[in-house]
Amino acid sequence: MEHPVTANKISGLIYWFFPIAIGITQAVFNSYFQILPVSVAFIDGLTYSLVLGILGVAIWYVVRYNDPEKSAVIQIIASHIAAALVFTSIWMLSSAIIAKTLINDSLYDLYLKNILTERIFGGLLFYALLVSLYYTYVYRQHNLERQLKEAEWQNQIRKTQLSALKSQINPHFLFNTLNSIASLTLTNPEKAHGMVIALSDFMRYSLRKQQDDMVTLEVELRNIGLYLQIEKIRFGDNLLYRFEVEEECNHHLIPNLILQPLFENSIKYGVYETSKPVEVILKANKIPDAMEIKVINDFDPESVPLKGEGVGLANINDRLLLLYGSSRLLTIERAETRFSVTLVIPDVTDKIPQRN
Amino acid sequence: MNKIKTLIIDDESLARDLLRHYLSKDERVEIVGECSNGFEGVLAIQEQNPDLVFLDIQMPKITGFEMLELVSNPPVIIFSTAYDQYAIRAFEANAIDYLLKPYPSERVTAALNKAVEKLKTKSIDPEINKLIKTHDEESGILNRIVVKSGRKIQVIPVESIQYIESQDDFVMIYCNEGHFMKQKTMKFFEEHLDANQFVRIHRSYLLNLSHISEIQQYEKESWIVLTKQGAKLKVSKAGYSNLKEKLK
Repeated sequence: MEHPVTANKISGLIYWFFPIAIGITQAVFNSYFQILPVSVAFIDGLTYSLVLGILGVAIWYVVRYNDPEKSAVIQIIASHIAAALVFTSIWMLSSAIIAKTLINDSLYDLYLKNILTERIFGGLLFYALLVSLYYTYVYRQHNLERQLKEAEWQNQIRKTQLSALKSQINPHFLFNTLNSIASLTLTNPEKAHGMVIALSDFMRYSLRKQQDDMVTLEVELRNIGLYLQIEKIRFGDNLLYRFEVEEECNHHLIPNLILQPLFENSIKYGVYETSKPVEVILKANKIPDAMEIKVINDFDPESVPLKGEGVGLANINDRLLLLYGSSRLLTIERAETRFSVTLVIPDVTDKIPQRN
Repeated sequence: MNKIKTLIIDDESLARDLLRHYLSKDERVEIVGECSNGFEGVLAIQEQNPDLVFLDIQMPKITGFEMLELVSNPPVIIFSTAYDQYAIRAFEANAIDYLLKPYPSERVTAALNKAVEKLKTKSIDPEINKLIKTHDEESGILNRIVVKSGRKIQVIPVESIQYIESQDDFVMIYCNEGHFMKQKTMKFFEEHLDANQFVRIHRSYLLNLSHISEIQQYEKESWIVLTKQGAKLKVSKAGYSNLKEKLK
C-alpha cells in the first residue's frame, strides 16, 4: 500500500497544511501578545511544526506494521504508546536543538521551559490524531481492494457460467453425422461432399463464435440452416422446416448460438421420437423494445421422452438472465401436438457485460 | 455351417446402408431384415428368430436397451451406436461387442468373429444379461417404462402407474393402460422410481401416492389403501410409517 502523503498531490498538501497552520498560528499568537519577538516567534513556530510534519510521515510505518487484521489489539496499543512517547521525545529534542542554534536569546530558553508540558501534550495529541487518520486510510484501501477482488471474482463466475451455458456441439450429433457421411461416400459421393462442407461450416461457426457474444439474427439463422441441412440429409422427409422472419429482425442482435439448443430439442423430441414427418417453424417479429422469436415443432403426443426436457431450456433461460437481467424472457407452451418456445430478446445491448 | 441370420435395427437409413454394405462382403452373413425402430425390432426378432442383431441405442419411441427388455430369448447383440464415451463405459467392462460410429469394415469383421464363437457354444449369452443389469444400475430415475402384452408394445409414463405388485420373480405393473408383467425386481423399481412419488407400503406393493383415494384402519396394526381406481391394497406396519412420512 502506498504512503498516503506521497500517494497524490492533494493528500500531500492537506497533510502539510495542518502542522504549518499550527506553527503559524502559534507564531502569530506569540508575537501578538508580545510573548516573543516576531522573528523568534516565527522561527520557533515553523521549526517545531516542520519537524512535527517530517516525523509524522514516519508514523505511517508504525501503523503499517501494526495491522489490526493481523496483530492483537493489546500489542497494537502497546506499540503505539511506546511510539507516541518516542515520537514526542524526538520531536521535542530535535526541534529544541535546531531552534536554539538559530535563536540566541535567554528569554526564549525561559519560554521553552514554560511551554514544555503543553508541547508534550500537543505532540501526543498530534500523534493520536495522525494515527487515527492513517488507520481510516488503511481501512478504506482494504475495503476498496476487497470490492475490486469481489467484482473480479463475480466477473470470473459470470464468464465461466456463460461459457458453460453456451451450447456445445453435441457429440452424438457429430458422430452420427460422420457415420452418415461414411455411408454416403459409398452410395452417393456428391451428397457426401455437400454434407462434409455443411458440417465444416457449422463446426467453424460453433467453434469460432465461442469468443463473440452477440451476432445478428441473420447470421445465427444461417448457421441453424446448416445444422438443419445436415439433419435433413440424415432424416430425409421426416424433417421439414421453415423460417418466417420480419425484414427488420434480420439485423437484430442476439446472443450467439442461443437458438441452437431450441432446434436440437425440436429434433430430439420431435423428429427422433417419431417416424412421422415433423415440421419445425421459426418466427421472428419485432415487438416494442424487443424482438420475439418463436420456435414451434410438432410432436407425437403418444411418445414419452426418455429424460425430461429442460436442461437445454433452463440453460437458455440462465443465459438470458445473465445477459439481460430478467428471468421472464423465455416461455414454453405445450398444446396437443405442438410444442413452442418463445424468446424475447430486448433491444438494449448496454446491459450486456463487456468483455475485457 | 449355416449362414448367420442377421437383423439390423437402426433408425437412420444411411447407417443401415453402411452396415449392409459392410455385411454384404462377408460370406457368413445373411441379412434377414432391417428395422427402423424398437417396436419393429421386437416383432422382427420374434418372427425371424435371428442369430445376431446389430442394434442402435438411441432410436424413436424406445431405446435399444428398452427393446431388449421386451425380448425373452435375446439373440447375440452387437451394439452399433454413436453413444459417447461416458455412456459406453457402463458396459465396456462386460466385454460385449459394440461398434462406435463411424467404424470401419475391419471392426465389423472382428465383431462377427466373436459372434461366430458365441453362436458355436450355443449358450445363452450371460453377458447380455450382465450388460442389461449394468445399464439398469446406471440409469437414473425413470421417466417411462416399456411393456408388452401379446404383440402390443406400450410406453407407459411413470405418472400413470398406480401401483406395482411383486410376484415370484417378476412384477405386475397396474396402470391406467391396464396391467403388465415385467421381468424386473421390486428392488429395481424402488430404486429407479421417484421416491417422493412411489412408496413401499407392503412387501408386495409399491404405491404411487397420487393414486391414493383413502386410507382405512383395518385392524390394530394393519391398514388398507383404496386407490382411485378402487383397488384395495394391504399396508404393513413398516409401510404405514413410510406412508405417514411421505404424506406429511
